[in-house]
Amino acid sequence: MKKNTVKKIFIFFLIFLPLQYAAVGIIGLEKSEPWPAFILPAFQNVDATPEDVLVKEPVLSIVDSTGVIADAVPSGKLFMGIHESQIQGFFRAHFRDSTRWKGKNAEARSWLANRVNQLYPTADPQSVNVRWINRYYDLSSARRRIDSTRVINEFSISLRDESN
Amino acid sequence: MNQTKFSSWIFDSFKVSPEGLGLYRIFCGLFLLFFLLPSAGIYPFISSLPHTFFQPPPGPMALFDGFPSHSVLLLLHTMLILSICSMTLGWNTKKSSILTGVLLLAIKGFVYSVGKINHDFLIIIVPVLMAFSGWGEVYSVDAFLKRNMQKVEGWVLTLLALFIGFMFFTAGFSKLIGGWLNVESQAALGHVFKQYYVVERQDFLAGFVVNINSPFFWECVDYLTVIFEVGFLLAIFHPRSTRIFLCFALLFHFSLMMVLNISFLPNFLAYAAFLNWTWVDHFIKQKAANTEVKSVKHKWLAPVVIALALVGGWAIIHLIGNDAVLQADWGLAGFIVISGSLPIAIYHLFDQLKRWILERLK
Repeated sequence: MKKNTVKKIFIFFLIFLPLQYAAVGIIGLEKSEPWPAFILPAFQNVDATPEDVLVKEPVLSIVDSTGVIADAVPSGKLFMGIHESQIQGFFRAHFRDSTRWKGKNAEARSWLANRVNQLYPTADPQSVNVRWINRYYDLSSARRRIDSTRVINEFSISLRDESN
Repeated sequence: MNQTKFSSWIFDSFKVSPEGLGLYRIFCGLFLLFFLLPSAGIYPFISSLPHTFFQPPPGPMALFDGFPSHSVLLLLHTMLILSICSMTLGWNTKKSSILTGVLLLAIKGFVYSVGKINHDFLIIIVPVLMAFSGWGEVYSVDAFLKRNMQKVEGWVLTLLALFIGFMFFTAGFSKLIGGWLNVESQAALGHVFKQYYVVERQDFLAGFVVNINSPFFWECVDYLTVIFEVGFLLAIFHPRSTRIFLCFALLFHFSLMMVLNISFLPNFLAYAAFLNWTWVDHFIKQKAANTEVKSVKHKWLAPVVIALALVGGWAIIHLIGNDAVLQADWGLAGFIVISGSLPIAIYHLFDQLKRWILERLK
């Protein structure tokens, strides 16, 4: 390749890289992070102070006609097949709040029911409860323990009734 | 940067040889094939997902409106394996290297359309970029048939260094504006807690580190992380500092693996480009020349040694049992590759320190 062409390639990338980073920031705020992009994970969140650490966690429960038959269902088991590094993100994308499920159709409901039935073949599950929990770990004591737990969002996904 | 310095940075930063690039190509192909190939186990899950679960990230994947069928994903997977093999053997090297990148982009694009992306773009960049380096010049079918020959180009490594440096900078800059340097909060500690308690990554030193109750310690971790990541962008303007920062990157990944149990292998494909492969080639040939058995003095000895090392490593890992041994992303393979690279990084850093001291004493 000619030297001048190579220089032009470098000049292009020296201009393009900061511009695409700015675009990733703007689009990321509006929608979600673009891909592919010349960036590495930011791990931007700051959730720890000298007093406590905040950990956000989704908790799934399976409910039948008698009540909760399984609480804190391991997401890795319910969604077996997805890469472990993607499970948390998959949860955030599809189970963050009830509005995300309202946009999904009967096929999605049937898919979820099928996953639950595979995990609990002898049960007759009617719905999946999703709770998003903020756990605060106390750092003031020598032994780390949960200081308080707060449910920040809770909703139910019916596995049978489309009017949910 | 004036015109001469700019040219010198682009063209003179990294010296390459056809043999060195040829060895790296073989390493790269086998490393992709054995350690970084997308897992075919995820395809049934993806293809079973209803269309309403298709959430492509903004970008080229938004051109699609749903997940492909299982058979299409398997076809792409098979094509990827064939193109990596072609690249490794050096058959139509330039085309197969570019095709490898394109197929990785397509497969990963569908995998990331479940609503979560991973930041492994470097494994797509490496084969596409190296396609223009002339890495099929030797140790290849193309060389044997004397066709598709290219001149070897060192500027490709400078461009790869720019990409790596800039990508680290984005990670550091986001932390900087996100408040990592605020002494009232300890960001790294928050992430350690999340990985330990939510993701349940509790191997190696995670249990010990999560109990370190010192805001000063955690603030130092926050500062060092930001300084290293932001500083990488400055380091890439000199080959010596680039290699020093790549060694820091290896130490950084090793620390992440020990504490957060995140063994992120994709970047290692790019880091390996900066190993002195020409020296490796000479070293193996020299050792062979010194042996009594003259028959081993063969032109193809160096690539065979590299290939055997990777195949052997892969076989050992699978004999031990790769899955479910560790919670980290790449399990035992990640642990062995990252730990194995650590002595190289430490050796190089001490060597640089020794040189620096000797230069000062002169």
